[in-house]
Amino acid sequence: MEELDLKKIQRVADLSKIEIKDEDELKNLSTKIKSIVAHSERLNDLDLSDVEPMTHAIMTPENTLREDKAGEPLKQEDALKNTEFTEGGQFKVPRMI
Amino acid sequence: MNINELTVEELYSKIHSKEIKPSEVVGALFERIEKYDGNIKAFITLTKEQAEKTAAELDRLQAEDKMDGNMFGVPVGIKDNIVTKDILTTCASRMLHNFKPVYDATVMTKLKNENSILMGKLNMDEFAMGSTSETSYFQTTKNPWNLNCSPGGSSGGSAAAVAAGFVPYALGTDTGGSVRQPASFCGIVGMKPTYGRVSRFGLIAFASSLDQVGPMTRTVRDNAKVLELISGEDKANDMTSSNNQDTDFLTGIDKDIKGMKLALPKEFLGSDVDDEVTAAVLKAKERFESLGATVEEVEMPNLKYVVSSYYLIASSEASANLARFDGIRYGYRAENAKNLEELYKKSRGEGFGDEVKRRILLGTYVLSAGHYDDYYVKAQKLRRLVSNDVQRILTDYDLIIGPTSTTPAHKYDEVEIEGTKEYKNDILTIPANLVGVPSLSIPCGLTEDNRPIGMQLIGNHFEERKIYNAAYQFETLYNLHEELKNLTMGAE
Amino acid sequence: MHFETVIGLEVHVELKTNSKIFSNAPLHYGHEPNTNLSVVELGYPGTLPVLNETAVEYGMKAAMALNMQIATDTKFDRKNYYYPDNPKAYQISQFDKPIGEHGSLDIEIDGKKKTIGITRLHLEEDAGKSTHKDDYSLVDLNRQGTALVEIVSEPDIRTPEEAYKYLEKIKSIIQYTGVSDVKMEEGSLRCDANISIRPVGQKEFGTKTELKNLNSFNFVRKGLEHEVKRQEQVLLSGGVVEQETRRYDEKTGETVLMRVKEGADDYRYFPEPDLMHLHISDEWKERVRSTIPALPDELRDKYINEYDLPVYDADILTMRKEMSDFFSDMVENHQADPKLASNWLMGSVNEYLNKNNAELEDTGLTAENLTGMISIIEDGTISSKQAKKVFSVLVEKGGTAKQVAKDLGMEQISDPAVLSGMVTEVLDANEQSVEDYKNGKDRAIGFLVGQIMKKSKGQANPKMVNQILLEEIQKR
Repeated sequence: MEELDLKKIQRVADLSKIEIKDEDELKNLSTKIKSIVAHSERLNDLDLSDVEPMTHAIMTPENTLREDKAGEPLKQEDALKNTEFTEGGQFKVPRMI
Repeated sequence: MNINELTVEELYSKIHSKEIKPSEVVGALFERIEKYDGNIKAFITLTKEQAEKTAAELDRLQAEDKMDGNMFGVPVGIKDNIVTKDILTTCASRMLHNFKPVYDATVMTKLKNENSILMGKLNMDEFAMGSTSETSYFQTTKNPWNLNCSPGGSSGGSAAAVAAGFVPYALGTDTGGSVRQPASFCGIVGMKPTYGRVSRFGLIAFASSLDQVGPMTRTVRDNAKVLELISGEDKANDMTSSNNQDTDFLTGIDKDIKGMKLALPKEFLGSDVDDEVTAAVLKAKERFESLGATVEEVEMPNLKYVVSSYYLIASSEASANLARFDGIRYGYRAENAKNLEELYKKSRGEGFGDEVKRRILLGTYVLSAGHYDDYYVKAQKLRRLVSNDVQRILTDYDLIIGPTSTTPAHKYDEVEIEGTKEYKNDILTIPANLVGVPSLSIPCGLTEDNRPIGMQLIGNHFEERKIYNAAYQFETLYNLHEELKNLTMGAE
Repeated sequence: MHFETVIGLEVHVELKTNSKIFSNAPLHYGHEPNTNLSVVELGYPGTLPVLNETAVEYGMKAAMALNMQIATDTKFDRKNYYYPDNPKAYQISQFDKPIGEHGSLDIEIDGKKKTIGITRLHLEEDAGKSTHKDDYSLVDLNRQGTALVEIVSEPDIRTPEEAYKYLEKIKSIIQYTGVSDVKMEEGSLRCDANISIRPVGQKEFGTKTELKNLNSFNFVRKGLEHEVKRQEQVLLSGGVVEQETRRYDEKTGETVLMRVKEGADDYRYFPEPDLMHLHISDEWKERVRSTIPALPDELRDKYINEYDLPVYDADILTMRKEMSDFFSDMVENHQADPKLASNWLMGSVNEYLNKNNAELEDTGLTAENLTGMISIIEDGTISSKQAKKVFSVLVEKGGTAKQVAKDLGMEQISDPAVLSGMVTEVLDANEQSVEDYKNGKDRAIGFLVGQIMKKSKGQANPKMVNQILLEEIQKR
């Protein structure tokens, strides 16, 4: 597995849309990430080729589906309640570029 | 009679027999909270006004003999990652410092329907990421047994509040041990139920495939009662639907456990485990044997990999779960963002604390192109192996027992010194989350300097009854509940 | 140098369920912004998706109608990307186990059949909508969480015309299954195109560009036509085609660069931990399959072979299910002549529907009354000219053709006794004209007919008037 350098962590921060203030913060964050990734290398000791990945903690025997019935929607004022940045019933965001 | 010392069951029956009024209970508990929580710092938000209003209403119903609900008048504290309608729900994060949900979590609705009274929202590690309650944006909770010690985490506020007698019971959440480890550090009883036993609707997700809401109480019976009330099928969470019918955990809880077969994995008493913890668990083993159970040593060969597997899976899921916090519809929004990209990056950069950022970055890295197979898929495969280990053991044995944590509550300076120590602490609690099986932590001893030690009992999926039965019998021989009454918590 | 074009299409179709794919929030097109939402669509913390059964069945139905294999075990995945109309910052979609795979459909190009492969069909949730203003954007999440299927074709399409036909065919097949309105103007059908060119004979694909903002089938065709030319010019002038996303500009008819793709997008797909895997039993598949009606290809063949309709007619009648249902009803239940029925449906009926942007069910027409109208034209009760008036009443108000013709006072007078009376009266009053006719002035007969028609207020059966008139003149 490849070396996890600061540049890569910066790229991951960009993908995660998290601003990193300065190199100190970047270093601080990367120390633990590196240690976990390094710690995880031990998984390579195991032969996992025939093992089926387990994505859920339980498997229900039957499908659990919802009947296609519509309920009462939220009121617009409730939908917008937790932000002051709205206009004409819509969420307002800064320009995209 | 000290109201703060009463268990859930005692409070319920004393209210029911009109010995005390709900408003007296609420009043006494707020008095205690006001006296001690300045030191303990268990609550982020107190809902005193609403609680008093509800209590007054319940007083009236009590007078009219209209006492509906299995928690009539019994106060509760809720971890602050469980959403409560119109009540601040912060996840102990600046990101949600101003967030008032427009709906109640299913567990909250259930408790309200039982006429339990919400006292407030409890501190935790930010977004439940941590095991010391120190990553909270607002405050660091202290262990009621020793103010220089951590109450554990992430449900540290919940554990401390129950131990300190602020509330007779609380709800916590457990993703890798976050109910059980603080329960063990604070000398109380904490359950991580079977995955799918309790609805996650309204639990702000950390790692969706691992998270469960669990009760934190002072006695085993209280714990069983609370779990009974919060579990069950929920149309809003499709994982809850199956095998979830039998939720009567109290009936038969006191039957003897003669012949019950318990397994103690030898890896659970490995070199990382404190001597005092090992001694307490071996003592517990004897106590179980004296109750007629057998305890045999077994192997759980993949235990040494679980921490890696857990961090990779939990962080991956978290990186997606926490992506919705973008400053647009709710929560912290950075000021003066010139464009959308800046709004995202500044809101998230300023709104999240370091530990949360670390895990988001780790998870993003693990899922990104070129790493997915190396890390994420391998972690899920390891999860399968651990599941096989647990299932193999539980084919031959009723329960698995072992320490909840490798250590008793650590002092803050210890945590500071050893940066990755908490990762090792999680090693014993993680398997139950990865595999989805229930696990209960109960007190099993005290260290020389009076710090509680916890033991966990792990059962198979949906076999909480068996766990409660064994734990209840154990509690008849060893019970810290009485000790809790003597905690001074520095204010007197 | 000659080039060959390679096109693959990604079609998104919104499913017509009552509620959203992962919550019980309702769906309505054109409602006030942010009023079709539950906490799930808002991406509120703590919310969880619960899968809509009908959305799954509609997805299966669409996949079956496109000749696909239906997965026995399928699952959902998270596709991660940040955008204000994607409130969770991940879209719940299907990555490696789509509900349908390995399908195809047939199109006809210059009378020759061509089969286009369909790689996959998967279920996912739709996103909200952003509107861009000068220095900010607004977000309406009403559309968020609408059940959607994405249908991805094989790169089998070779010309913009084939792409056009493929889309028409998908639209009609889906429309027949009833799982979607497939209205491009309302966004319930949307299309992106991948296009590349390569020198004829070359095996490897060229670098493809992705075309967006293709808001009608015509724009798809025009956009692709322009893009073929553009890529040819780039290559012929020694340049290289960049992997990029381009937008079709409806005003200029050209494609415009949106963004250059730097490597593949990193969507960090992983299995959705909030949804269980979905098992689709054979029994369930068959139950859904049994609800699929006869599809356009089958009907088209029937119309051509059994009803002797021209290919052109059969194609048009099978574009929409309502139309072919109506046609079949006329022919099968009311014994209408297929070609006459087809003429009316393709002519006046379609003209009316297009002009009024209406559906057949919104009109007063029934298979019975339209068939009735055709038969009173045939038996001469009304003229073709009169039929236009009858039709406009039927289409607006309904009723039976006979009654409408009667109410309009159109029923022809065909009673010989009545007509004879009128003829006699007119002849008596116009002896000079009779004389003129007998003296070889043929025009006089026209004048006399005109007088009789006038007297009958235009209702006299012209054929019979002619006949009786000549007989009466002979008698004088």
